[in-house]
This record gives sequence, structure tokens and C-alpha cells, in this order.
Amino acid sequence: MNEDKVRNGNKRSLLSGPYALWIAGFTILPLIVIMKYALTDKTGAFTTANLTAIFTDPINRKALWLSLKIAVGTTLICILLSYPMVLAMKHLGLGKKGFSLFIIILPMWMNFILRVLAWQMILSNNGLLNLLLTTLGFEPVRIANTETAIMIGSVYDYLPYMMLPIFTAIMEINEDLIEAAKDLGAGGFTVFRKVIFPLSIPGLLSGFVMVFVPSMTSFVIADILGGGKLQLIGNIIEQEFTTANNWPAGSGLSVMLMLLVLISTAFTMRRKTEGRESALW
Amino acid sequence: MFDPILQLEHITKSFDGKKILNDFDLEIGRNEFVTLLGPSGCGKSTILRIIGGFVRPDSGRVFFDAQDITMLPPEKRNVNTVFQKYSLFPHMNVEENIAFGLKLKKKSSDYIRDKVKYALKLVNLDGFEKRDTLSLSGGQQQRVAIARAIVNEPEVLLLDEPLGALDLKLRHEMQRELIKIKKEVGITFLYVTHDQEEALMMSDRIIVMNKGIIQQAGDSKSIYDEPQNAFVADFIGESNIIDGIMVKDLLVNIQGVDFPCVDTGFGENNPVDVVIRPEDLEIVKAGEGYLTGQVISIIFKGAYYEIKVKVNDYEWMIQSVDPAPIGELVGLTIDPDNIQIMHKPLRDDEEVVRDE
Amino acid sequence: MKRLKDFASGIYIGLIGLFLYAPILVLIILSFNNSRSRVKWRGFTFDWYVKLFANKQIKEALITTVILALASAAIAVLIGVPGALGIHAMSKRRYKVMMAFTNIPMLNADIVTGIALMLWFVHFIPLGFGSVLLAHITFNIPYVILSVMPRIQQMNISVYEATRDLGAGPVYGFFKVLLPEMMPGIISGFFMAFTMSMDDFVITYFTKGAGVNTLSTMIYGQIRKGIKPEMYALSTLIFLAVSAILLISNGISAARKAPKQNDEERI
Repeated sequence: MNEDKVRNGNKRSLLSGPYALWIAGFTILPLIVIMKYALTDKTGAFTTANLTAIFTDPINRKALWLSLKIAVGTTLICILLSYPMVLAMKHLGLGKKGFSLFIIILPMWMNFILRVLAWQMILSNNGLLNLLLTTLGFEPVRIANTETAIMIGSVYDYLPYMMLPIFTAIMEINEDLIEAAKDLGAGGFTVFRKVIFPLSIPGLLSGFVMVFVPSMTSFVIADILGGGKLQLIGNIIEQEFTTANNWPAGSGLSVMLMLLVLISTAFTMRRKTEGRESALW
Repeated sequence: MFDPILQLEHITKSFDGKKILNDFDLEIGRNEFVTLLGPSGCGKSTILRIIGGFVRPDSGRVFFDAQDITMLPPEKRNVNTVFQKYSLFPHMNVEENIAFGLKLKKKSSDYIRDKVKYALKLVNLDGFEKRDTLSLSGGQQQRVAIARAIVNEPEVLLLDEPLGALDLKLRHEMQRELIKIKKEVGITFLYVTHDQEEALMMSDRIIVMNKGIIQQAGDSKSIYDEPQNAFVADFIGESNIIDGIMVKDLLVNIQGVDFPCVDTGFGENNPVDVVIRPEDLEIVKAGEGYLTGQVISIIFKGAYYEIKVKVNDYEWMIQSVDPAPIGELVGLTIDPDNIQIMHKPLRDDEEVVRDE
Repeated sequence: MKRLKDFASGIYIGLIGLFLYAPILVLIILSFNNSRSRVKWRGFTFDWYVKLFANKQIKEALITTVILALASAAIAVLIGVPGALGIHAMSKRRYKVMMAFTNIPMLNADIVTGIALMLWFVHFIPLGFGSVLLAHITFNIPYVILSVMPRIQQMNISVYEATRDLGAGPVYGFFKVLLPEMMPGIISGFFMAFTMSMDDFVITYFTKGAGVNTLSTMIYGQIRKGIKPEMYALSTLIFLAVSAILLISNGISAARKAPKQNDEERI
């Protein structure tokens, strides 16, 4: 009987054959190829220069630093905006009907590029923001093509990705637990600190991964809102493959970027238990 | 000298347009073990939650130790609750759960450690400090919930059907433990349950409720022996409830036969409800009892036989240690002391709860 | 005190809502503006919508985008569902390895995924619709697997065994019992893959080659030259379409849910 189970188990695992092949061909192989490019120079000889370039070249360093700044800033702002939002929704009893979820999700479904575009129009020097400010009697601001603009665009784009997992995690918290905490003497903020927040951490970690990684590696937002003058590491990589036509250099930077991303998300992956991994959405 | 620690005055509460409590009054004495007993929907849990502070009454007031706490939020009340679903914090281990309330009171860590140890000993979970709450069995979780509440030394402990999810043997064990704990810590217990055996066994005073109205209040014996209306009679223990006519004081007519009884004050030739407990009926030879009927069923229940005897249209239930063969004609007799007379129900909440 | 909290909550939600929707509203309004100006309103017009429908380039891009999304999501399901079933049946160690590989495309920055795929593609195939399709399938499969896996884990395998016990063959058992159980996961996986594909820019950008354009890449290309107001019209239509889809799917799932038990029912 046990043998049967084992045999059936083995047979059933064959079902994943096509997928295993796909992984080999389209996940593993490309990584090998990019490593190869990263480790060779234009002549084909072995070199580690492409990998170290991310730290040795000042332009790269500057871009990397800017990317980190934007990523950390975006992630923090998203976290700070999300928690009060979710708590406010919970307080008003929204969120149980799915409609409020809809409000958060809807912008996510609008085309990413169009959303960035919308901000470009608002933030440009003779755009809507300045129009609004001058009509109200304030001085116009010069936000276009600055780090601030990129930050705003980034936060706007990725905010729903932080709010959603935090929302899911907090809405799942059984109301009984909050009552129990109050019964034992906890007031509003203490309930948040000792019960709600700790239980929301899996959601927070999901959100972190979904915001930090894209905001650090993005090039589109910087391109459109930075006017091409501000370079994130993503922009530099993109240029190596398009205008500069230096694939080895681009590959080297990509590989290093991948490692950095892996390191920064490694600790979040370890925190999650196996079953929870699929609680992405 | 009745020393009330809790008083509810004129409490009214509706949910979704349905009135659950209407002008409800209640007094709980210091150090009493009081049980609110009644079927689902009777309002007993609502009362508990109003006292705990999780539900605001629409009108009426709650007094704790003579102070009006009606508007006070739960965290400021000196009561603790043992929740029906335990509600242990999943992200904390056993000792962190138990210490939760103490930490909020800013007690020293030595004090907390000792108190936690004592609480665990009280509930028979010595050494469980570092255990993960999710790995505990239902009974163990329940005991942690009790420890977590008592360790704060509240003046009143609210228990909301805490033993409902446990199997029979464990439930009996926990009932005995709860009484032991109460004796040791000396707190007022306000207990809610729909299990009448549990109520009878544990309480100093039982308050039987139906549809938001108190049907009867008293100690276990008087509730059991002297139910005051059909609802209580039917809800507590097994009963035979049948229509009768009160001929005059000390005489009642049941199924056409006059029975001497010990109740007075029900008037003359008035229709009444008669309650007779199955264990009080005696089976005798046909013709030697007040009534004669046929045995239609017999079930062995371990400690006794449950026998049904049909007299005309009514099926009498008898509990006896001796069996009787099915189909045999037998007589039924009873001691006058064991006949309980009640007024006919005046409102629908006084009526027997029927399974539709 | 409660009233104050309610008020503050409402205000905050309103502000965030404003933040999220203001740009979209701006696009919608501008789509009706009888002028190319971003700030001056010169009257109401449907002109841009007309021009939008006449624009061949946009239409082609839209068709490409939709076909790409549908095809890549469908193929991802065809590979991913058996994949999930197979992985579920594996020993713990192999399971962990396979799931680790599944997570890689999702954790990896899309710029790295896009470039890596492109580098490998150039050696073997011309970049075009085919290469983009392969790329999209690659990043879609993990979403399918992660959607379906929880349902597989929750599935009671003894129900399947019961059908075998009653005489059904494995294929029949699969279609009659396993598939319906997994269906919600499959549908949501398909949905997610479809969405990811529709919205993707970076991976498409690197793997598409010169001749192919999806909506995203086309819009990006336009940005350099200055935005045509047809884009605003396009945004508005997308917004309406997406709202409609979400409202309908919300309506369906709300109608299907059994009435939730009110906590206060503990009376």
C-alpha cells in the first residue's frame, strides 16, 4: 500500500517535467549566459572588471547610491502611508466587503507607463501642480527632473503593492484577539504595538520585497520624471545595452545588481514560513 | 448580607433591529459563582460582553462596586474575560500570553515571572512557559486562557462558555478545576453556559434566561426541584410536563385522576402545568398506581433505564434501575412531594423551547 | 473620542484616495480637452477618441498586447498546473528546490530577467513576437504555480482516491474531482498572469526586437517625441475597461459568498 503511494508519487512528479525543462531553459540558462557576458571583456577574455565596475566607476557609484536612496525612501514612505490607511479602513469597518480593496487595486491595473506619464504632466514646470499653486497665490515649484519627482512617481507607482499585503494581513487578524488585548488592559496604541503590528509583519515583508526591488532597479520612472539627467543604476544598465552597446559591462552591472537585490531580500525570505509564501496577494 | 459587586440596571440592547435585552436588571454578589444559563440567543453572552465593555447598552447602566462604569472602555475595567475561543495571541508563547496584562501594569519582571509560574501551577500546566500556543491541545489552550485572565487578579472573572469546545471527560475535569481555582483565588465568577448540568454542578446561584428575560434565579437545588415555569422545567433536567387542573389546594387532576400534592395558591379548578421528574415516577403493577398504561420503549442508559409508558395520549418518561418489558401493562405512582405545579405560561418566553 | 477617530480616518482615506486617483482623473479630463495644452482648457471634444480609433499603430500595439497576454497566460497555465501537481508530489527536499527556482523570476529585478533572456535569445532566435511570448510565459508560470499550490495542498487527496476506489480511471478522476477543486486557483493564476503580462514593460522592452510593440513599449517610445492626446483617450478607455472588469468580478464573488456570520451573533 505504501509502495503504491510511492510509485504514484513518483509518477505524479513526472507531471512537472515540462516545467522543469522550462526552468532549465528559461531561468537557469539565461543566468548562465549573463554570467558569461559579465565575466568576459569585449575581446572574449576572462575578466572581473565588469563586476567590480559597479563600485570602481564613480558614475556607477553615484547611480547606485541614488538608486538606493530612492528605493529606501520609497519603501519607507510607502510603509508610513500604508499603515494609517489600513488602520483607518479597519476602524471604519471597510475592507470586509471587497469594495475598498477594489479602490486600492484599481490603480495597479492601469498601465504602469501611463501612470508615470500622468505625474510628468502634473509635475512639469508649467504643469498642473504649478498652475494650482499659482492660482492659490503660492510660488511655483521646480520639481520636474529632480530626485523628488522620481521619488513621488515611485511612491505613486508602488504604494498599492505595499498597501495590499499589509491590508490582507491586518484584515485577517481576528477581532477576538483585539478584544482580548483590551480586556487585559491595552489601550488603542498599545493594541497596535503589541498585537496588530507583530501580526502584520508577514504582509510588511511581502510589501517590502514588492516595493524595494522594483524601485531600486527601475529605469523608466527616472527616465520620464528625471528628464534623462538623473541616472539610476537601472538607467546605466539600459544604456549599456542600447546606446553604448557594451554588453559585457551591462551584464556585469546586472549581475552585481542581482546579488545586491538577493542580499537585501534574503532576510525577508528566511522569515517567512513555507506555507505563507503564496500569500503574495 | 448580600454585598453586590456588579449591578446592571434597566439594560436594553438591540442588534440589527432585534431586541435582545429589554429593561434587564441583575445583581451579582461579591465572591459568588453565578451562572447565566439559557439557550442560544437568550442574551446571556450579550450581558457578559456589556459587563466586559465590548458592547455598549442602548440604555441602562452598569455599576461596578457602586461606580458607574457604563461608558468605560474595556481596558479600564477591573474585570477579565475568558473567551469562548480562547483568543490566545498566536505570535506569543504561553508565558508572554499570560504576562500580557501584568506587563501593561508595569510590574517588575521578577513579580511577573513568579505570578506566571503560580498561574501555570494553578491550571496544572507547570513548565509550559516557553511552549508555542499553537502546539497546545484545546484543553491546554483553554487553561492558558484562564491563567492569562486570573493572573491579573481581577475582582470579577467573566467566563463565556469556556468549556464548549472540549470533549466530555475533559469538560468534567475542567469544571472541577475551575471550582478549585475559584476557592483558591477568591474572585467573583460570572459564568455563561447553555449546559444545564454544568450550571447545576458549579454554581452558587443560577440565573435561567430565555429571550432576554430572567425566568428564575436561585441555587441549584431550588431550580431543579422547584421550576417555576414550563421553560425552566423543560430546560433543566428531564421532565414530564403535562396539563392538569388544580382542583383545590393540595389536589391536582392529571389525565382524569386526582393526585394529592403539596402546592397551594393556584385557585380552584384552574388549568395549570404539572412537572414530574422521570426519576420520581415509580412503576408498579397495573392497577396499583394512579395511572395505568403500556410500556412502549426502554433504553439502557448505563446508570438507569429510560422507560416510556403511554397513558392515553401522553408518553410518560420514567427513569428506573429496573427494566420493564415492552408491551406490558403497568401502573404509575408518585409521592405528592414530587409533583410540581406551575402557572400556565403568560408570555412566550415562559414556554418550553421547541425543536422546530 | 470615537467621532474624532472616525472623522480623522475618513479624512486620511480621502487624502490617500485623492493621491491615488488625481493623476488618473487628470488624464481623463485632458482626454476631452479641445487643445494639446496640459493646463489650458479649450472646450469639450471627442476628437482624440476619434483619432485614437483611427490610429493604426495604437491598434496594432493593443492587439499585440492582448494576444500576448492571453497566449502567455494560457500556456503558463498549461505548463504550470501540471508543474504544481508534480512538485506537490515530490519529496520535501526536491519540493524546496523546485519552489526556490520558481521564486527566482519573481524575486529577480525585471531588468535582469529581461536582459538575461535577451542575451540568450540573440544567439538562437530572431527577436520578435516569439521571443517576447517565451519571456512572458517564463515570468507568468510562477504566478500560476503560486496561485494553484495552496489549493492543491488543501485538497483532500482521499476524494480522488474515492473516485479510483469506485472504478474511475486516473484521467476521469482528474477531470471530475481534482480539476474543479483547483479551478479557483487556476482562474486566479490565469488572471494574475494576464495582468502581469498586460502591464509589463521592462522585460518586453528587452526581448521584443525592433518590429514588435506592445502598448507599454509604444507609449514609452512616444514619450520622447511628445505625447499625443490620443494617449489620454487611451488611458481613459483603459481605466473604464479595468474598472468594469473589477466591478464585475467583485460583483460575482460577492454574490457567491455565503452571508458572513456577524460576530455579534454570539448572544
